[in-house]
Amino acid sequence: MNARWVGLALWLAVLTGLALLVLPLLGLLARAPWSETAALLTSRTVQQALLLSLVVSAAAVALSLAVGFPLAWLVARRSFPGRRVLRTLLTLPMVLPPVVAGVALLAAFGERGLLGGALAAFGVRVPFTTLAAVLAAAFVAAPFLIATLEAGIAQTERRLEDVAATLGASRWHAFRTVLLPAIRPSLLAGIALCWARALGEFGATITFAGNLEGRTQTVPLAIYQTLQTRPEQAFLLGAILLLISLCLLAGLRGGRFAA
Amino acid sequence: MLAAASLAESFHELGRAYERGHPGERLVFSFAGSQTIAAQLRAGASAHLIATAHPAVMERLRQEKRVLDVDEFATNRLVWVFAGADPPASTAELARRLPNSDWRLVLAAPEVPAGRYAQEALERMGLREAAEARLVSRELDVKGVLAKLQLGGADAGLVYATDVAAAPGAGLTVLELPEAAQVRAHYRIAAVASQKRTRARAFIGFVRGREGQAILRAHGFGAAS
Repeated sequence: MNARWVGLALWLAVLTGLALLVLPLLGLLARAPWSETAALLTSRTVQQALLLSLVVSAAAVALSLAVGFPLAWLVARRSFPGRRVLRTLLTLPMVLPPVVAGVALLAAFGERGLLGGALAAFGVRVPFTTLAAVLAAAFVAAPFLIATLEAGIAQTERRLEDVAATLGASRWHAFRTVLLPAIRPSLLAGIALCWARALGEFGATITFAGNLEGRTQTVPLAIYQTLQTRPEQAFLLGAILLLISLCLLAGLRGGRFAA
Repeated sequence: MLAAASLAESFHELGRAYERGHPGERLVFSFAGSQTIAAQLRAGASAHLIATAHPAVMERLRQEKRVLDVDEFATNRLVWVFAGADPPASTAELARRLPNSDWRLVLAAPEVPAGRYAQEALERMGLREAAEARLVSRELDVKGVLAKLQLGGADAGLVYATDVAAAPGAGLTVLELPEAAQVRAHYRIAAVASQKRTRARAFIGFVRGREGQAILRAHGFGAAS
């Protein structure tokens, strides 16, 4: 009798969870005027936004990998004072409201920011450029890659790399033949999460990079601007972005099961 | 009461002044874009009063018989705000220097009223192309334009006079537009048809009266036309 109630309560929780997490997505897909897809995709604004979103998010993933891999390895493998503090710092952008992230980026790389003077000396003005959009996306998305990767590296036995090394393998060789295959699933999952988060970036981008077609107007920004006057089109563009993210997550995380 | 976002500061003060003079009355405000508050009213929001920044929005509500008598109570105008080094002394100088400058310009997007007004004003100043070439961002509301100027990203932008009436912020220069280029925003207020209107009319009278107008003027609004 008791077990039946527990089972019932669990089912109720599962259904409520689905209603909360999946229903809005289904609603978006249902509301989107799909018959207008062809017309929407031929609009110059939409094409530019889609292209820019792909370029910016891919660049953000590349940047996240370049700086995130060494950081994840450091935190997972080395013990040093301040390691836990560093780990917390690296996950902080995940929980920051994106607008605050944008303001923080301005405070660092804006004209009056900490590095503003130094950058200006080289004639570099970061805000309002495509580079700013990449930095904004990388700032909020890299922690997803780093956290996933760090967990993957920590799970792999250090011993394997050491054994490989004692067998005469160079550090690079050991990394490539032992560590990399072992962490492949978390690497792919990390890239997928990072990429999807970068694609959906809005708040930090509009604050730090602004909103200009062809330069900084990514799909989420185009959606918000469209929402003011043509809500139906915004629904459709939103649904398209949702499908792209879905493909990305499914495609890359599929690698986890294949590996 | 539903009111346009640009009325937030002034209407909070108007409300307090009104409550002081009318013990027992309490005003509750909800601020959002004019299009949004109109949609809220259509969706059945139980408001007694509505104030919009665009005659067109109010006119549609009147045609739908959701509001009855409509009164204009204030106007707003655009001003240049300059944030860069070496600010121009006048709009004439700004217009002269703009085409050969490396200024970064921020405007509101044409989807929002402030952006439409800005486009029209630039057209009248003959600066539309020069401005487009230096545009770095189309903000999704007028407060976003000001934020970009205050945070030190952009050099110049067009905002409502009321946005900078209280405190333009350190390092910002405010320049008036020439009268011929000026585009005025008209603010209108009305009692909602489906509600008891006596108390609503009393507040409208207060807003249009001497004390109400003085408060609006202090916030940078112009007289109704």
